[in-house]
Amino acid sequence: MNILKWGSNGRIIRKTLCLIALFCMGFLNCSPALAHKVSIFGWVEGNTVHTQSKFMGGKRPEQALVEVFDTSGNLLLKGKTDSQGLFSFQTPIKSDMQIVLSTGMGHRADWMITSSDFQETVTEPKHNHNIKTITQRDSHTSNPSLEKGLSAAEITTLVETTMDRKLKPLMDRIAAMNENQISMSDILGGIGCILGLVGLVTYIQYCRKRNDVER
Amino acid sequence: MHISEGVLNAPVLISGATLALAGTAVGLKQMDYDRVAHVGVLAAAFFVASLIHINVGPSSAHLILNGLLGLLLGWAAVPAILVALILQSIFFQFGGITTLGVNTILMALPAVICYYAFRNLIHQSPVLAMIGSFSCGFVSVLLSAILLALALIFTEKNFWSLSGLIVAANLPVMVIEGIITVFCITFLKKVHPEILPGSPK
Repeated sequence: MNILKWGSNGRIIRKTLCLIALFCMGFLNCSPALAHKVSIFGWVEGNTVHTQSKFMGGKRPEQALVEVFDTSGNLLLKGKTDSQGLFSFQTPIKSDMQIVLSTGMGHRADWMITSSDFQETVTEPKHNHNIKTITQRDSHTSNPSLEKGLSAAEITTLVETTMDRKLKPLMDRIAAMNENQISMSDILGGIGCILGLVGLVTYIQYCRKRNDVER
Repeated sequence: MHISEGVLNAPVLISGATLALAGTAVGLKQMDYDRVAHVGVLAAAFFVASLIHINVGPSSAHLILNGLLGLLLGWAAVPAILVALILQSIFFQFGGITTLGVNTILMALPAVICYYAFRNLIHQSPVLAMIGSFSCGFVSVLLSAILLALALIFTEKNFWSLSGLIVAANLPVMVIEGIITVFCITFLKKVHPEILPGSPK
């Protein structure tokens, strides 16, 4: 019986297990939670949609194919990521679209841009000129528009441009967070599941053997 | 090595799932239930090995350890790999539920092939045993890479350049897995030879 042999070789088994544990820990330390899963993150700025792609672990896919589909699955445009894994395009439609990243070798990820993303960022760069003139005018003394107050459109433009500028670092941060790092609890959870399964099978086996003996 | 959801078409997915199911059935039938702990420990090793990442070229590759699993478990490697892949897809979002069958075949079929090819060689003289275990680690990843290219042949037209690319990307993994397998087998031969295939139990 193997079990008996295991018992008599307890010291060796313990040594082996220690070695395996050290081996695993060494690996985990030198490259914590790295893997090859790929992800893409997209956001809208005015008429431009920016995308950022990443392999898990931070490596950026270069020259990877990015395709943009509308809701009925028609290909709108395609392009390739640059050395930083970035790809930006002028949007042909302002409604829902799916951005699909394929890095070859069976790795694929997608990101949905919804029409609400566009509604929030209808600001066009062409408005910037107006804003500059408005703010310039405002900075000078006594102008009629200040007394009258800004028109609703002007306020909207101002707020949206400022929001775009202020949100840019935040969007970059969210893009950076999109990496989906694997946590230790995921790893231990998986190992725990496997050990649980082993326990279950061993228990069933034990019951079966006991029944055989009783018979 | 894991194929993501939405890459493959239905016939490939279905045939992969069917083969995986058949392989799992054979594996469960052939498994020595007194050694279920071995299967569990090695399944856990496989589960964690995919997190060890080797950055090479434009893509990225990771350890698989299917050669070692195959050599030590034989057909039982199929259910072990299946369980580990299910957990990887749940916990790490590697691969996917629909591609589970294809991914299992990708990694488990080379494991079983290596079991039959190298199980005798590791009991020969130390040099032959080292060559056998290195080849086991190396060939298993090579076969997985070729199977991956085969699975993608229906979606990506250019088979030869694709398979060349996949094999090239996984070349460092093959060498590293070969070395790891040599270390593991040499170590196990010294401390716990009963675990090796073909040894008297």
